[in-house]
Amino acid sequence: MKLKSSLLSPSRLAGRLRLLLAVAAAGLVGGLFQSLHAEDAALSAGADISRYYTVTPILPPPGVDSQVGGMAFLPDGRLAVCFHQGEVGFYNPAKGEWKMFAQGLHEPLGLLPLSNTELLIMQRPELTKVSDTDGDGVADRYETVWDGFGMTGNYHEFAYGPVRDAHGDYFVSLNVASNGASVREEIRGEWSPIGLDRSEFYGTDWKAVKEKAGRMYSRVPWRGWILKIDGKTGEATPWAAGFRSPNGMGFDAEGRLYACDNQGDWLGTSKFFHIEKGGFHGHPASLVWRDGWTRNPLEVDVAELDTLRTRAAVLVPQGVLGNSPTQPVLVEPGGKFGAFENQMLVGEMNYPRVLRMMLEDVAGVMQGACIPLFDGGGLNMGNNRLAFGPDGALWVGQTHLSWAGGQGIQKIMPTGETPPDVKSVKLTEDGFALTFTKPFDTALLKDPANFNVSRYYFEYHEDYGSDEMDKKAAPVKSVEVREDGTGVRLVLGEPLKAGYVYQFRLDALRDAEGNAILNPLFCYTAKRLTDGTDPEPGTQIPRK
Amino acid sequence: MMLRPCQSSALIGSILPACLALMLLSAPAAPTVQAKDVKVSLEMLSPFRFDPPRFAVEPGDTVRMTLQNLDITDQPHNFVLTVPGNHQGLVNAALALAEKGPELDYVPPGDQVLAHAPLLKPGNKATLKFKAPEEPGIYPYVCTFPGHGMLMFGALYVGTEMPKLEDDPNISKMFLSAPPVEVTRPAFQRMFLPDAGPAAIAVALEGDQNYCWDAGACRLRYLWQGDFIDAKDYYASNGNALAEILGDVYWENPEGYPLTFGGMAPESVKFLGYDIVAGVPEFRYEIDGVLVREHITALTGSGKPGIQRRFQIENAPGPVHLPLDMIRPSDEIGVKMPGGAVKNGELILEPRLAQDFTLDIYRRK
Repeated sequence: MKLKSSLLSPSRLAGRLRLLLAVAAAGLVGGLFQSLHAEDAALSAGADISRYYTVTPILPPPGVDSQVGGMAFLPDGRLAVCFHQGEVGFYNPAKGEWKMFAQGLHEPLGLLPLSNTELLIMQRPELTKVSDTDGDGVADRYETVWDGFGMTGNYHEFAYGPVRDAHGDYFVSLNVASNGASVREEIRGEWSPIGLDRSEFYGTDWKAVKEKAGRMYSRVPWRGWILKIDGKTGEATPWAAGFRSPNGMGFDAEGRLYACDNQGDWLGTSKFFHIEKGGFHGHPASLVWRDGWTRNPLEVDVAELDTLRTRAAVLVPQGVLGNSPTQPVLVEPGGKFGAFENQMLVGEMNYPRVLRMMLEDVAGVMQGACIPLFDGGGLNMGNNRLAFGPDGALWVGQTHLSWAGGQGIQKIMPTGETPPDVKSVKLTEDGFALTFTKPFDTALLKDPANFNVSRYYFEYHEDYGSDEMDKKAAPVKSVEVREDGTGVRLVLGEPLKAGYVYQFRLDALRDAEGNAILNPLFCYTAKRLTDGTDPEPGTQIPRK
Repeated sequence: MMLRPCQSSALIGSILPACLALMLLSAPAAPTVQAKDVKVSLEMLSPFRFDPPRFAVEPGDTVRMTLQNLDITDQPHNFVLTVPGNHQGLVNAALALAEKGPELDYVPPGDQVLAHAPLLKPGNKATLKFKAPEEPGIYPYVCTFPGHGMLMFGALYVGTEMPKLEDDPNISKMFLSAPPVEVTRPAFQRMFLPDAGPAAIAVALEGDQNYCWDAGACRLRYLWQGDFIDAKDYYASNGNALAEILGDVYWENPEGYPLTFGGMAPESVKFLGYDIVAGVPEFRYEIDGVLVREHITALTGSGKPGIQRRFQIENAPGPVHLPLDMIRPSDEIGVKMPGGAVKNGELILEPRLAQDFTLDIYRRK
């Protein structure tokens, strides 16, 4: 591990510091969960967010802990929301009124309306259909759709979903347990004999043995998996493994399934995965539930795990663009976010930010870049759930569950003025092609020094998180500017490296009218190069 | 204010940086009190808590800290001591580091930082030595990891009197206990409950009767009289707490199965959910594929505190056997049976009787 020295010469930093302090000049707003205003947000420095987006709070129902676990619009245009303490409320945007629909759920973390009177809700113990059958506006039927997964009672065993595919089938995702706690005496489901003996989980000194359980563990079925639930029969099919905390799934315009996972053990940084059947996504605990698997995943060589794993479509660098990405939603064509149609937006817990994914197919794999939609602008932290409303706004539900985050509901409405932004990024054989949302100042685009690129990778290892490894500048050698200023082709001074993150800062760029670029920082994950080159297995694992 | 490097610290394990860079605050004036060494053990805990949340030293004291990240929720934390009144300024400066944050451990450069420990992953430790400022005042210490700064902070009191803890505006009150959630009866809440499986449901009936239903085992687990549950420890954390039962558990059924057809333990039980009837759940479950509906309400009319269980089994394939374990009459507990025969420790009901019957459980006193 790289040594970190925090001793920095004030003189060396003076220039940067002046800029940063200017950015950070304004105070935080009050309340338990402070949000950062536009002028505080580091990444959008210099741009006036309110010109492009407005952020409006929605008053939560009175007396309800307003942490949002799930949120979606009903066919009739009301917003259905499930909250931390198990309530479900319907919000009528036209009237600004709440009506409570259901109660008593256990940590509901996902919601999917089936009609104006029926919701599918994923709560800790099960996928439940909640219905109002007598038309009085209040749920009177709670039907268990699927509870065929294990529960140890460990706090970290959260359950997410459902999302529905084009065939009407559902996907749900299940967390692994954390060795921050043991398991309860009574569990639900089969106990896997692989790993630390169950009796050890009940010893008096959990701290002494917890490492042997693994930092995160999967000892009851389907922990760390995404499963497909047949929309007609309710039958579950294990779909993909290797997850740690897959809080949020969504489909792109082509119906591909994506899910986020959170930085931690085995995850050098947070990830945005393209999910396909049979995939193993890197966190080994869940392998014990693979058909025929008999070995303790903690004892499997990391090099072997590295060959088994599916890499992320997009790495979300920790502390740079996000620490805890959440639900992806598709920007449907024809809406108010026209500049970004068919892209996906993803919530983020630790920053006042929503991320935008710029994906492409490179030699058969989906990969791409993440960039803020914007940063700050009055948005809270804890952006857990996203839903497009009939008004075209992006509604955002926030939570914290005692981690970093926020609570409440806000909506983001584009003003109609196209933000000066990077619209798409494509990998080329020797660099990147960027397209902008509007014409940019071509004089600035012509200068390679205005494209500040660095690259690094995240190590695949059991340890918690990863440093940015082999981080180096990747200077732009030449820029080819599209005549109208709507795009550039960048050639790097070094060959592209598969498996690396390419981090861009474009602070100097302005649109043709002189407006600062809204989001100068983004990161592209070169999962594969255009010629099909993948990272050599074993090159991004700890050196022996 | 001058800053200069101090010394490295000892660390545990190989996963920590091998060197900690520390900052020593030099003393501009001669101390008026004999400076001393103060040892402080500081823990980083969930949710977003420094323990102790504050401590006091005299100007010029040498503070020898041991810091340990014991956060069970896998959050990394650092420790940054800043100048009085600069809590928000420090948080803003840390966030403004943007992509430089990780390599700086989210510690902003400059005079505003008086001392700091590096970012500690969960389970890791560090030591930190610094000289307390000569200027009396209240010096905030903060975890400046993104998202943590406005939640996780405390106060170093230097030569300054501390107010009562609950009145101290300089420490985080983020997760101080909230009052118990008031319940409007009837109510039902799925929750982690003591002495039940993890898929449990607490139900508050009219009056002061409450019960715990286990949706994994499909059976009633216990009854209590009094207030409902206090789940604030669950809600205020990430779920690593059981709700507390706020009353007197007077009947419980720790083992067994709900009922059976023919006397053998059932091969399968399957929870199907519940309908809300008269404000409380009517459970639906299958025992060996046969649908059972069970509705539990408060006993009314008899004057005895207790509950009534109404079962509806429309298609019992044979006599319904209720293990008497499940009923357990005693000196304390009375049971009103629906008829049928008691044999080999079981109450046996013919299918016709089992179509719709009630079973009362009440306290004799």
